[in-house]
Amino acid sequence: MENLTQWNLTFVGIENLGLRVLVVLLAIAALYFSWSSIKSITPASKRLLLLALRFAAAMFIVLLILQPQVEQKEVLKLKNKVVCLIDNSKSMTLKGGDTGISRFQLVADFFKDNASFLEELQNNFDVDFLSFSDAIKEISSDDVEKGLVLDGTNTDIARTLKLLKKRYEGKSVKGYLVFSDGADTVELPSSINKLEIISNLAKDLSAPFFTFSPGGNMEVRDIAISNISYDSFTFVRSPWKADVTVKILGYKDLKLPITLKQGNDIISSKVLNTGEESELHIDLSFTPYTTGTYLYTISIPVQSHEAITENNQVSFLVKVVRDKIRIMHVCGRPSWDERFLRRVLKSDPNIDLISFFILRTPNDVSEARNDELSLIPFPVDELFTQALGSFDLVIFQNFDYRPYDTSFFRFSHYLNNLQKFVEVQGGGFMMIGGDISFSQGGYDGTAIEDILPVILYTEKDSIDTTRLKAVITNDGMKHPVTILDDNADRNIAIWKNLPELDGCNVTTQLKSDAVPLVIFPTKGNLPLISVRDVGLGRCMAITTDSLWRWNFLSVGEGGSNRHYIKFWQNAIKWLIKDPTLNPIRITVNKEIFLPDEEVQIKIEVLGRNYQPMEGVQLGIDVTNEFSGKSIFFTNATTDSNGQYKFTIKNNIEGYYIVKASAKKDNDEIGQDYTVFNIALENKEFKDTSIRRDVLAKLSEVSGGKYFDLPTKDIEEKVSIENPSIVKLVGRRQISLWDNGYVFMMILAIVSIEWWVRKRSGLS
Amino acid sequence: MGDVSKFTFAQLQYNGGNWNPRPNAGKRLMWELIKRTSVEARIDTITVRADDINLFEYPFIYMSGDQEFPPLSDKEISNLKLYLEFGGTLLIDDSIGKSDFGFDKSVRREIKRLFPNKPLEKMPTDHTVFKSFYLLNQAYGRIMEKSYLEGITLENRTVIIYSQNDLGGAWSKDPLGSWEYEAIPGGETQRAMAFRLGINIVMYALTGNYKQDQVHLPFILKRQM
Repeated sequence: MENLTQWNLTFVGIENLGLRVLVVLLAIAALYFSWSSIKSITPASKRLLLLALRFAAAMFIVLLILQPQVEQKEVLKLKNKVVCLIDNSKSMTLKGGDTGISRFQLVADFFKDNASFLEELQNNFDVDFLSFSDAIKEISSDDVEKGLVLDGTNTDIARTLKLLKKRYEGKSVKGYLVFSDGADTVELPSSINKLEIISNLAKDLSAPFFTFSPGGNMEVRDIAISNISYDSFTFVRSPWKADVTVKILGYKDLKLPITLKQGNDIISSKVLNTGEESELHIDLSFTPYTTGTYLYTISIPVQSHEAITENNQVSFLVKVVRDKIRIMHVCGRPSWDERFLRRVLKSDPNIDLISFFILRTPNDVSEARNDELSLIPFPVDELFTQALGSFDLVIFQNFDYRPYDTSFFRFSHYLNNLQKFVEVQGGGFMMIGGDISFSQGGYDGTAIEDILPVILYTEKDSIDTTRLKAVITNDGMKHPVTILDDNADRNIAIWKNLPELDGCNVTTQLKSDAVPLVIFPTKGNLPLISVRDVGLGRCMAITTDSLWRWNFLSVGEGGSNRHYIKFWQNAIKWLIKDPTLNPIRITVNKEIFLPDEEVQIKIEVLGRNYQPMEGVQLGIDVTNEFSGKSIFFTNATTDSNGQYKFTIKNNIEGYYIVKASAKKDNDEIGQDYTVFNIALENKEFKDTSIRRDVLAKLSEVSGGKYFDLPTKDIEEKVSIENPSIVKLVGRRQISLWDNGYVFMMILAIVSIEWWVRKRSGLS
Repeated sequence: MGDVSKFTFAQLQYNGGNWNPRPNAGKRLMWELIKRTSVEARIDTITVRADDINLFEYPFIYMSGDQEFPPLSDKEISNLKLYLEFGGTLLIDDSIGKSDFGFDKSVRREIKRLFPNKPLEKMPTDHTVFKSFYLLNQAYGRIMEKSYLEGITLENRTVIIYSQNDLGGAWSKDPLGSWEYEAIPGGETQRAMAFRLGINIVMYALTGNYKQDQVHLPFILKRQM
């Protein structure tokens, strides 16, 4: 900037130039005619004197008419702006696979190699230095040489252009110098053309963009899981799928194993043949069998000379929920026990019930043609192969499988499937007694016996038809299946008052890991209701076909059927591992936190009556999923609301597991866990490619030019127009006619002219 | 396990009138039920009163008659109402099949006492009772007084089924093996159909709307075409 003084002459009497010329011409004409009247005067000196006087008078009159002024202006001469934008995102730290030089180093080298250009640029222009990624920030040219902090996590070029527009609105920006890898990380729907948006915003700025990006030998070598498209919640027993995008830079013909893990267990894997592709899409799928929130990890092994290893693995949380409880109810013959159970199951809107009742056996004589019967084929193969996994619970009620164990359909194979359904897939299985159930149904020695809570002996087992009341065991008093009332005493009373049962299947022995909940108090106290955890699933044995009496006879005795209904509700919840039966629950206020953000954790404990439980001793541990290090450990006690709340903060990114165990008076109540994530979302390493096309487009649409880095002698290649601009800072006007001297001079000239003419005897 | 858990043909005994005009009907039906289906049933029938504590041992009861009878006691009505509302099924069989006369008149009076706001309704031919085992398209009996059954349905379950075609008459066989009553007008075919309907009613009592489950519909519709 420099100060300047400028002078201007103006005529304020007549602004129109034509009129001004006319006035001057009239004055010249008047002098000419005046000269004609005095040209005969002698001597010539007198004649010239008169002419001079008249000329002077005419000049002053013209001055009066035109009213001249002198204007004095003080002005400042300004410089045009040039904006120098330097990408400070994390991707600028990436090193070229061949060169070992980081992308930012090339920018710093440019500043060194072209120091004279930059010096001249700063002499001729007002140069602003800004860093950009998802925001713009003022920096100095020295910052580039000293080493800029490269911590941007989300390069957003469109947003940067909008911020520039706002910042330089009304300012004379004559050019933008952009140093970047062009790796814009903003994800937009496929219907939106990001390049077009960036082009339009660049055009709006009305100045050329000179863009600089790392040259051809700067590509990194990297295998990146750049995107995973998945549902963050899914239904239990429904297939879940992730569409994984893998970017391959600098490698060819690799065979890459890609795995999906839950914890340390590989649940799905595939091998990718990369060929010469730079981007591949692959589906990974699995079927979750239990509800809850789980941490899954997709990973690809690190290859030699990879620039970034952290993008070879991506973890995410998936919430597995239950849609409806799907139950397969297979019944060997219609009975009251089946009728009343079916009524409970059908009346629950949360249950999707598929029933198959054997209404006629091969030994029965229907006395009708098949087309006169409503019977349908028993779709054993479909039910126990493809469809089996879609159920939460399978009930065999007084069902003998042997008539269906034909040479064509080997039902014993289906029993193996059922065992796998329970043990591996976490399904529930229940066998209900009757004259063709348990040993009488031929299940001893089968896969079903392996999962049942009771041991079957065909030779010893029989049917006891004694009519007795069932008796709840000590285990049963604490078990969620057999707690029919919140109050323990009332619960015992309910069990005592339930109607007698009409016999049971004699199964003399329980398995060692089975829990007897109710016994039939005949000789040997036979297990009547027993349960067992089997692998991932659960199994229940009810060795009678007369539980219906707890319903109908209770009503007849003046009681209610609600205990019968409650029993079945409990049994189903337990068999399908319904999370509401867990007496301890951990909740975190959200799933993803920023580093050092407060994580609010609440632990609730419910008693056997599902009411808040005070004074429960909690052992709480929060550990990092990958390192296994504990970041928080405490022992605490629940308050009167059965709750304990606490907050933690941590700045280390990663997934954290919160585990809590609860006990009261040395009795284990239960345990639970949940997962949360601390993450600063960094999209910079998802796709490590250099997007020269983006920068070239910016230059093209704005009238600038694209350059590969490194580049030298830039002053010969870049030309930025630099029109002068000034700013008025002061002004003064001096009138040349508006004073008494001018009038006195006119009067004096006219008087002298008159006196000369009188002396000369002229008129 | 014991006999009580098997299907039992329990006949309702009431005061006045003739509560057992077809004493051999139930036994014969049970015999056919065992022979034709997988249902475990007792051959012998039993008798139960509506005010008996044992009523709830038998979720299916059969009421028959051929004469007008005096109103049931209040206790019988309240017990019967409770029985029906909580899972019991009542089959009423008019042995003479005369509308608004004798037994029919008494039955309609008692049903009105049981469910004052639920009148007997004609059961449609697509009711599950017509397809619970055999595929039928109308009601049958010893006589063909009405081609339909009437019923009272509570919460999607028909708790009272009323036939005026003398089902028991069609089922009755004497100890020497002879049919006790001639089926009119259809003869033995009509009798066979009456047995089918009886078995369907028992199946309906035992399995409810099982045959309305989605998995059965395509098969049944195909066979009914």
